[in-house]
Amino acid sequence: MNTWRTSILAICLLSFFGATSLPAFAADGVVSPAAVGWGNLLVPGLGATIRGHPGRGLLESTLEIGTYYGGTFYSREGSFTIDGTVLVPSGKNVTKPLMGQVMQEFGLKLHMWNTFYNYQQASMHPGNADLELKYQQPLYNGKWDDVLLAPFKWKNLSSPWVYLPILASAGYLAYSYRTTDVVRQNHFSSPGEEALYGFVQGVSIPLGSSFGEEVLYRGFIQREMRYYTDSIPLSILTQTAIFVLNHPPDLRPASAFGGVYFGLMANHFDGDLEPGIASHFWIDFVSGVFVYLSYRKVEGKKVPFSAQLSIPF
Amino acid sequence: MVARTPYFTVMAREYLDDRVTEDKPIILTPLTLYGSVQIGGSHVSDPRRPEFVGVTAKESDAFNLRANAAAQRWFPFGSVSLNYTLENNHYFSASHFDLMKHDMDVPVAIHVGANEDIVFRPLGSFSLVGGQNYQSVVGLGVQGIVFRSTYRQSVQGLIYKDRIYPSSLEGLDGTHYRFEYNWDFFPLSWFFQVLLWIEHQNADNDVVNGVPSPIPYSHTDVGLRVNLQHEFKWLSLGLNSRLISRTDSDTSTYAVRTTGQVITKRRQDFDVVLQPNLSIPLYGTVQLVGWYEWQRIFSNMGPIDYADRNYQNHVVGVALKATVSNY
Repeated sequence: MNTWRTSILAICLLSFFGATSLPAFAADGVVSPAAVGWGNLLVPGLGATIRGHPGRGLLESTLEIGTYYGGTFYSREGSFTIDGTVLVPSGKNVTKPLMGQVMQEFGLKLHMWNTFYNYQQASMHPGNADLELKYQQPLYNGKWDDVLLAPFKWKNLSSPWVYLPILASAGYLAYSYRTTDVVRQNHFSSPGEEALYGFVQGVSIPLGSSFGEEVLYRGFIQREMRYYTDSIPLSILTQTAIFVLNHPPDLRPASAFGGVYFGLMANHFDGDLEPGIASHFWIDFVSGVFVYLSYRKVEGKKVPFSAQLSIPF
Repeated sequence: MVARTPYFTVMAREYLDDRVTEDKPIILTPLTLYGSVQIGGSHVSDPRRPEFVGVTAKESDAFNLRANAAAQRWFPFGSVSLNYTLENNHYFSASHFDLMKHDMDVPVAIHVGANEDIVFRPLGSFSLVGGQNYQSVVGLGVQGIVFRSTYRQSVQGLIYKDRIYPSSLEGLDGTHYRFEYNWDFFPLSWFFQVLLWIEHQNADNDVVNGVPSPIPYSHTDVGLRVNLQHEFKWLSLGLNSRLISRTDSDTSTYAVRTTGQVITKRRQDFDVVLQPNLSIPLYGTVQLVGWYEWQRIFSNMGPIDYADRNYQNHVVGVALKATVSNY
């Protein structure tokens, strides 16, 4: 069984237990936040629909599924990862595969945000006030613009929890960039192709990761697991396990570290996800810059540093 | 409970439309049982299944059997059901396309609100064509259902894996990701259903040992089904329609049959079905049903391409349908 199916099965099992954890008789219009979150995670639009907003559910699902599967038309597919499935070939024009990757990134991360949003709205319903008091991790109640702006707020950037991992990962990436051998390829990309590559690495992936992943893994899954198990380590390990399974194999060690660290941050800041969002964004941004420079390097183009690196595609 | 049982909603509609005039108390037990059998005959202009390209089939009369059995056990948290459907089509002049299909699912419904359910639905099916193993399917569905006074809405995600046994069709094996959005409306004397879906198949054999297949099968379907039914006192008239747009995820590379020139082309099909139908209550729970069905697949893969995917079929049928239940 591949990791994609394993993680779907894990989410199904968790959603089953989540759905059964609510009181037997709810008042009209009150739905279980757990059912909304887990159900929406598996089926786009489900959360809004059972919250009584079918139009929003249809819009969410159309955008998420349309962009995700639309992305498959641009290149052959590989295994599922947290950033999509399309394969980016080496030594060829990568415009179409990158377009597919951007579309899949948008669809996936919007799905993650919408899963959290519907969970958040169901949790904030007055009919669930008593249930909310039982949750150990406070609910993050930021809106979409709070999440987008979190990486640029000084209150987040000035925390050592945020800037220390950014500096540490930047140092590691710079060292790796300078010491890894280059594998030259024959393809010489056009300026447009290169700009698109830079956009994917420097904007699309960091923004998608910080916008969708933190609210889903730390804001929803970790919070629910803490409620089920009343254990901080178990809640962090569970969301980390799913986070790791959804990454490609070569990124799993780093994502395991990230899952645990961002989980500890969510716990340290009492459910405030914005420091974690800021940290996640800037780590991915710095990584994206080095990958972009490496892309130029393997084509024999000038780069600011005398760098040596082979990149995975 | 009535709204959460498909067979109860049928019964309620019949009662509200004056088709059932005799008042009888409903017996509500923890276990609801239901069964139906439909036996009839039809005339089919092309019994060939569309995926069997390059094979011809004579038009044929057919014997049709469809049987359904369902049990639903009620619990405080929701219900657990077992549904089984058997479908058998025997074509007298094209027996190599005879169909025998078994479908089963085990929905576990959990109340997540006063009028909202989440359903976990393991499912499987096995079918034979012409007496030979044809397809097996194993999967899991997760469904959210909202019950309102005049309509029911559901959203379902399905992941299933299928295996196609004939070696000529093994490229079709794959994992399917299907998302369905369904509305059932129940205005008095009418039934109106709209189902929208998108299904992506990630084919298993598009890339074998790192080598891309020249004819890949990964594709995405977008579908719309609209069913309309009006109940009169002595009969009901309906129109079922379906439209599916299929687009391959990648282009196919092949030699054109007429010139031998190698080209690349992305397969795109439109599959249209229209089916007017009627049903006449005869006695008790026995009904006479009749239908005409027109199916046409318009494909950009024609006679000069690697396979002609265009297809047309007409079916005229009549059957008797009987239902039994313990309520």
